Amino acid sequence: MHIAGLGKHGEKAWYQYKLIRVYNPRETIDMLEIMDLLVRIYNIFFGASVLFLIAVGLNIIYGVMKIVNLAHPAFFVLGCYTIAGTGMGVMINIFGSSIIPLLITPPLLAAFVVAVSSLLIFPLFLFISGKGDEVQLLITYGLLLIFEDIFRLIWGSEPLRASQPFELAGSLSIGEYLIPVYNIYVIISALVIALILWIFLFKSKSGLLLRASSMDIEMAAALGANVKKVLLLTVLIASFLAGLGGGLFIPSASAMLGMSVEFLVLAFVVVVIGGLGSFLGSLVGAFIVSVLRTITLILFPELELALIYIVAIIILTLKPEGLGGGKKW
Amino acid sequence: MVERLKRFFGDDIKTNFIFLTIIAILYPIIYVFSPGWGVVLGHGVTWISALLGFNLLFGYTGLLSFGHALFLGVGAYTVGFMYKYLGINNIELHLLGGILSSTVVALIIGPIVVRYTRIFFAIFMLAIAQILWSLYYKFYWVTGGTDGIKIPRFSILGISLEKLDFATYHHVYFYFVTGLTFILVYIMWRIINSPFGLTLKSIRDNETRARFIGVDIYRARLYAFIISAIYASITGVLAVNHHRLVTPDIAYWTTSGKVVFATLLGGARIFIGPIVGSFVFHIIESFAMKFIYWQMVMGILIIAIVILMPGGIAHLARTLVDVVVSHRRRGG
Repeated sequence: MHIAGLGKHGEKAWYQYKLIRVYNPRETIDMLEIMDLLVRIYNIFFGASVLFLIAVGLNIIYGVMKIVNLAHPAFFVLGCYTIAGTGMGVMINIFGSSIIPLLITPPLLAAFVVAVSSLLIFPLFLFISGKGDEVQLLITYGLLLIFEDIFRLIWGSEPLRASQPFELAGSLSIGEYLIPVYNIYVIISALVIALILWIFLFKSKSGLLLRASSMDIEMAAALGANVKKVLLLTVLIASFLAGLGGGLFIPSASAMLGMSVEFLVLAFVVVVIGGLGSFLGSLVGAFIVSVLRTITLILFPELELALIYIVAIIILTLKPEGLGGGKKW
Repeated sequence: MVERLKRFFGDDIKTNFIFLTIIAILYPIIYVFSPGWGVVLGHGVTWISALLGFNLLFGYTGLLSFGHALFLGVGAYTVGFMYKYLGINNIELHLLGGILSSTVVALIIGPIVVRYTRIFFAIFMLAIAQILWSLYYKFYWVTGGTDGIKIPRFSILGISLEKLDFATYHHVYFYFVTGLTFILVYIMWRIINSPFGLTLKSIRDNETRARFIGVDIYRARLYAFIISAIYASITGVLAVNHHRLVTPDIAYWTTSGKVVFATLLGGARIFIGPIVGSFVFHIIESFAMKFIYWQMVMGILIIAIVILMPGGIAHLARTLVDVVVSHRRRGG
């Protein structure tokens, strides 16, 4: 849950306080070392789940359309804001405090909203696919700027929270440690989503088309695939996943401006470590980045990003195709 | 006449000097009518250096950096630290310090990042800039955190400006920066039109062929990167002397966005582009700042410029001259 990185409004302090409360077992450190390890591992899984949901979309769009979509993390943040700004209030009105619907509906709503809004941008994606790198980078960067201000326009510049599901789910206490049940739910959901995505990509006909188009789009078109439809499907899936990620993540954090860039920087390391355009790579990368983040947040929180990037640069130098084995998908 | 007009809007060092001179002459008149717009011109002339540096990297070398705020931040915090820990407020020493520190930073980062191009270079720069921003922000006992470091008015060659009234002080600042910009523009012109500049253009246009004819691509890129860093840090030094406050904002990613946008607006790949872009950008900004969704305007304009007029204002002016000229010819 320590994803929110360097918030501008003292959010960080809040997290660090929480971190200390969860991690500092006062005088009984030696006794609880195994538990300590377990809590850390569990935190690593939580971080990896969220990063995976962002990075896999980034990779799918790159794989099929050859666009590095700098605005992709903004999709994720749009999901966060949809729930924190509007969705959660509505849902509490409808469902009261019954926990199951409050766990399931927000991510789906966020994913739906994000997928629909990605339809609006789809023509722009069609326009830039096949254009030069500079054009793609500049246009998606422009989109990122626009998104950041749309969040400000609609939801204001104060950090927003939607922690009701997180609080309702309560926490398990193991020894002196508190493990929020909600985070376990996020980890399980991410695993289920990854599994469904894997089945879709590797076992279904649409998935086959998608992978085929990513390998040679002209050949796929020549063989009768409706390429435009495939591209639309790609953008929809990627944004749907980002929205799901946002809806799942937000109850344990808060939505604030500048988050898109924070996650862009993180998701990009995931992609670099795992290899651009690889499904397996996003899993491996998300896991490694999350391990690094968890370790650095405990040892030297100030240098978190710096250390992650040093590792990324080392990996890129030694193995330019990434740890995903360099194979597509 | 036609040729002269065409050359005026083309690539010619004289055009740049004439443009800057016109602004320098107009500045007092504008300041008398409205000091606010005078200050806007001051911002415009301050930012030229960073945009020239960015254009060397983006327009002439083909490396798109989303993290130029990194070097503005280095320049700015060099000034901040020089004042806070050494009590120096001589602007010459600030400039010297900024140049030295940005060279050091560029020598540390450059050898790593210039190995990568395109998306990797762009995002590495963004990430490194964000890392440095977070350091300025988190080590508040050194940097003052979000409160920043307040610095007094600078002094030139040991002459203190503390006793001047604001208007005179601003005039001194404006003409000092304009003078400096003349020098910087001239140096950049010489760099771009030297064999080294041609090497950079050849790398931009076709990396493989450039390597084939024996160009040391890595080294050429590294030099361009260092020069670009120095130019950006000079703007950092000047800008904080203008605001007299050093905050992490100058190293935040939105500053990089401004650099990218202003250069595109003026016209990347065209020498005069950044110079025009800097002024036009600050004029638009001072209108749009009242409208708080300024980033959105910037994003929309970036997309529009990339799609509709990739050459920016400089290219537009050039085409306009062409159209007018050919029309007159047909009429005559």
